[in-house]
Amino acid sequence: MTMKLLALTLAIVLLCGMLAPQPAYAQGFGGLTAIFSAINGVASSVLTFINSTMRPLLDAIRTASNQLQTFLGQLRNLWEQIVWPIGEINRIRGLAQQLIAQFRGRMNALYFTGVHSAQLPNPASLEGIVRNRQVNDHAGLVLAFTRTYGALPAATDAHPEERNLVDVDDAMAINQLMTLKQADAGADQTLLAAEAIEDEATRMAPGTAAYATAAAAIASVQSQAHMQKMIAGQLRQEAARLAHEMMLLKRGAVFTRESRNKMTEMNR
Amino acid sequence: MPTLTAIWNLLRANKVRVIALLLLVVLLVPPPATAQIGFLTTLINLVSSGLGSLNNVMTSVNNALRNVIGPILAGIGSTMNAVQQIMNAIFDFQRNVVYPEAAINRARGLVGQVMGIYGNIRGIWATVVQSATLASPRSLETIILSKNPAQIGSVGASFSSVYTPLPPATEAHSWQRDLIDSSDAASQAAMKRAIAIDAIADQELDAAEQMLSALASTAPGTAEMIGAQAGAWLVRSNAYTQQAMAELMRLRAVELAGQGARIKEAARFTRQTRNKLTELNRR
Repeated sequence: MTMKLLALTLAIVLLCGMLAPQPAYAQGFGGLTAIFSAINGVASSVLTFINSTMRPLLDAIRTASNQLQTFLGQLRNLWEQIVWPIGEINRIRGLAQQLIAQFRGRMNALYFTGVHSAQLPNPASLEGIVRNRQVNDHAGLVLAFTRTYGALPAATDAHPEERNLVDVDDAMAINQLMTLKQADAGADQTLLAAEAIEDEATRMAPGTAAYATAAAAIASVQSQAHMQKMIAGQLRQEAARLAHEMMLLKRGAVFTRESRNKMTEMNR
Repeated sequence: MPTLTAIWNLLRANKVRVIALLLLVVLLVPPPATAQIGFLTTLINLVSSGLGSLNNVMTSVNNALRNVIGPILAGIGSTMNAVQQIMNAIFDFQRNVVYPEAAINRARGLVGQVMGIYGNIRGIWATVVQSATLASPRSLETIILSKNPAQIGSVGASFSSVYTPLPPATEAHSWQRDLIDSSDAASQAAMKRAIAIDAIADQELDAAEQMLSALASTAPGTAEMIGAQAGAWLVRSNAYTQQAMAELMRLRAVELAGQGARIKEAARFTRQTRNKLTELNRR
């Protein structure tokens, strides 16, 4: 009996052993396959990205960079061949040199041509002072003027109104002569400024020409201001001349009244 | 030997138990080594297959990068090199030909030189020119050379103190009074205008000095902007010059008209005298 029970047990154990499920190692392979599949999928996606996205983008960049190269090449040609050709820059510098060589000496000779014409000592002295381009000799000018045109009459020699008239006439004339000395001296300096700008034109670069242009324009404004000062002087002088003429009329009226009064008194 | 015999006998006596024990051991003992070798082989095959597949994909990626992306990037690189060379050439051209630093500094020096020259000119124009000696002429001269527009209101009184006032109606003929009044008005207006013009000229010189100062330190690209401002000021200045010239011409016109009026008056006086003499002859 014991033997039979043992044999039956062994048979059951054997059957269980034969029918039992396979070991679990088969599940580990499945995970590995999934990992490889995932990596494969990612790599395929990378490939798809390269071909579908990256390539068109890079093609576009290549096209744009080619266009940029073309544009920059054209820009370079434009600047170097059309806007600022070096040959033309040098030609214009040469033109500045040529203009200086051709005209500066000649113009200066004409500008400084002597026009002194007085013969007698006092007028010659006055003329010398009037045309000496100096502005620090106002007293000398007044002295030479007085020697040439006479001094203000003494109070005993002329009516006060006439003395005022003579004094203001002389003052206006001297003022104007002094203004002209200032204008002459200023013109000399203005020519220096012009020559400085001309000299710079012989070596300036295209990009720095704007400085000289602006400096010349500002200098022109200043020259205009000085011309206005000269016109103001001329206005004062003309006004004084007209006022002088009217003063004579007024004096004539006064003289007529005084004469009439005296004649009336004499008739009485 | 007796020991071996004893063992043999024992096994023979319990042969069923021994067989059962052997079967039990066979079942309970861990799987044979042959089973581990099979797992490894499967694993190797699987990994090998996976790596092979991966290798194929990566080879495709590599081929795509080498054959497609590589040439494109090489082309872009080549183009960018060319672009860089052109940019360098443009930069060198701008720096050495169009805007050389030495030329910029020289141009700024020129502006400083012009500033100095016009500073000298301004000093020249600032010298005193007053020359009158008597009180009234000196007062008038001071006012009309003052360059101060606030003094314009004082011109009339000072003018009259030098050139005397308009004669009363009892002292001069009406035509004479008209002539005197018109001419004196033109003279006074010219003197007033001269004060204003002097003041305007000084303001222009101030503006010009400011522009020159700005120009001396400005960049080459903005120098033209100052030039444009100077151009506008030049136009403005021309307007002031025209105004001054107009005042001068007006004065000359009044003077000429006055000369004509005196000839007309002389003719009238001659006619009246002739008429009176004729009347006297008749009597």
